[in-house]
Amino acid sequence: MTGVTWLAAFVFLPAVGAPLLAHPAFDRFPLASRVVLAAGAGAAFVSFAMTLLALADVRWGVAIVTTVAALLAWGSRAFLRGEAQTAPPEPVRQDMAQRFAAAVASIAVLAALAATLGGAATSVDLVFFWGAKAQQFAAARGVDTEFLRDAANQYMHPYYPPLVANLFAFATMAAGRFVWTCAALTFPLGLGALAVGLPGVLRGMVPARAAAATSALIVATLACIGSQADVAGNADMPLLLFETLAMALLLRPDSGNASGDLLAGILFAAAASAKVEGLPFVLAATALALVLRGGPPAERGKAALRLLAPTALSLCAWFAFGASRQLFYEYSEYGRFFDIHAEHGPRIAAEILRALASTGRGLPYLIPLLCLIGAGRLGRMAALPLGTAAALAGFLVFTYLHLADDPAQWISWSAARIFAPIPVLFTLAVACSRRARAAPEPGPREA
Amino acid sequence: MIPSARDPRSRSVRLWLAAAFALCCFPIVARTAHPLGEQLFLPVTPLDRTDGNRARQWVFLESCRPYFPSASSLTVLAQDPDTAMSLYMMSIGAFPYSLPLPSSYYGLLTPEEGRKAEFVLAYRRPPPADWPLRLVANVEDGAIYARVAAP
Repeated sequence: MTGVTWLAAFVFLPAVGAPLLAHPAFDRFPLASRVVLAAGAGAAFVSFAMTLLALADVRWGVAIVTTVAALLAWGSRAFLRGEAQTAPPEPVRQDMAQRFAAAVASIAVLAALAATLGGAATSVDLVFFWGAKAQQFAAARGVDTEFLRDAANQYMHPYYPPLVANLFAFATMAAGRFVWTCAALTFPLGLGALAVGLPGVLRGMVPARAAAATSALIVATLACIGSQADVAGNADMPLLLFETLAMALLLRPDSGNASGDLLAGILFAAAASAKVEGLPFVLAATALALVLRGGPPAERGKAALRLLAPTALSLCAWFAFGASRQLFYEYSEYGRFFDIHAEHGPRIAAEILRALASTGRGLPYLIPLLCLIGAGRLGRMAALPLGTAAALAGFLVFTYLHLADDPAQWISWSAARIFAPIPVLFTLAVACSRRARAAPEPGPREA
Repeated sequence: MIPSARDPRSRSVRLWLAAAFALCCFPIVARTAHPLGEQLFLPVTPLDRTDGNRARQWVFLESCRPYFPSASSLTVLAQDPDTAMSLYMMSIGAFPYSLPLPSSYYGLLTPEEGRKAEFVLAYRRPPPADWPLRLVANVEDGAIYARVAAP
């Protein structure tokens, strides 16, 4: 029963994000996508509320965290003033291709679930620090500064973005104790959310059949990488969920309005609060989206604000907490910014390729790449996922270049996971191809 | 409109679906390659099928749990620094109400810290002879000792 309650805290997240997603401007999304988007926004609001409460020295409790998070969600509607109601998507009759895509995505999620329940996908990081941090934070009813300050807990990475530790602590407070298996189950849960929500988000840019096919490819790719690279219970699946949904939102033709940008911005904030590499993803995607959209500088300025302000607020709150407690002032442990070891370059490239090739025999990286190559002419917007993929890959290699010692071991246990957004971005670029956009649309749903 | 099977737009969608199907089959096929007996046993630890060594270490920590009060300090000893560090890190999550003290930290020996602990969890090695300890229990892969107050 404790496990059910622990997981219920995550199932409850859509209710936290609902005050925002209930705005009529989001009527354009199918209900399933809206629920998943509300969950993503809810996760961002819950984590931000917990950070704000910690900053203000207010003890965490399920009721106060939920209330503050829901108020933040409600308050963010102020940025949508004047946004018109949008029309719900045209209902379409599910054809064979869509049903097959749904079946493939379901099998992929079930395979991830089986691997997780069988103890075959658990991340070592869960038992080393995510679980420990969440338990300490839940017991302390806040970000436990004494625990993080202890020199013997240096490996807990006190500066690390707080979202996953916060959400796990929230679930632990709700359930009364931490449940290891349930923490690992956040992998299939996040994957399932993507399988349910992504097709409806992509339908704004491509016909239903192409949306279903590309979504299934993304879900199957992540199920394969996640099971092979052991991501269950760590921050990789939440990061991938937020990044994928945010990027899919930005690729929609209606993304330039306030509601689309604000929602993408909130998901960006969740990504940047989940893992360090979420921030370069956010910066690259925002910069590229603004360049590709064009328009007058004032409009672009407003869009930049909506896309970046949630991330800036989230990280400012976190670093304000760290600085005010003299715990941390920056992302540390990566060396000085330009203190790089270029002599490791060839070795890093070889080790990354080795790590990717040994994960599912390289198929989850190779197959989306081949689909991209075979997709024919890509639309202009494909530059957004592809440019973000290039920027992210550059950042990751740049990070590896900071290690003075041989980086082989570090790469062997991290590359397969942290490069996982790249094949997702390849597949989203495939969805920007002319073939995807021109895919035959199934007929209207019969009455 | 019913798309023709030769329509390149339909072919693309089918290709992506085939790619998704291939990727979704891979973990299942990889899983079924293991012996049936191995697939059927229920995991005892979260790491049973991802990291056998750490799974054993987890079992060791769990088997020590009944032999010390939850709000006590403890240290974990192991034969090599990597194992000691791994056990130390896991003990923080496994025993959230206890105070784990490292006897070595990232390969750096810190016995002065470990000696302060009320309980010593010795994994596949005996504790140092000069530590004043009494055996509490032998468990799988090791033993648990309690510190004896100096006379």
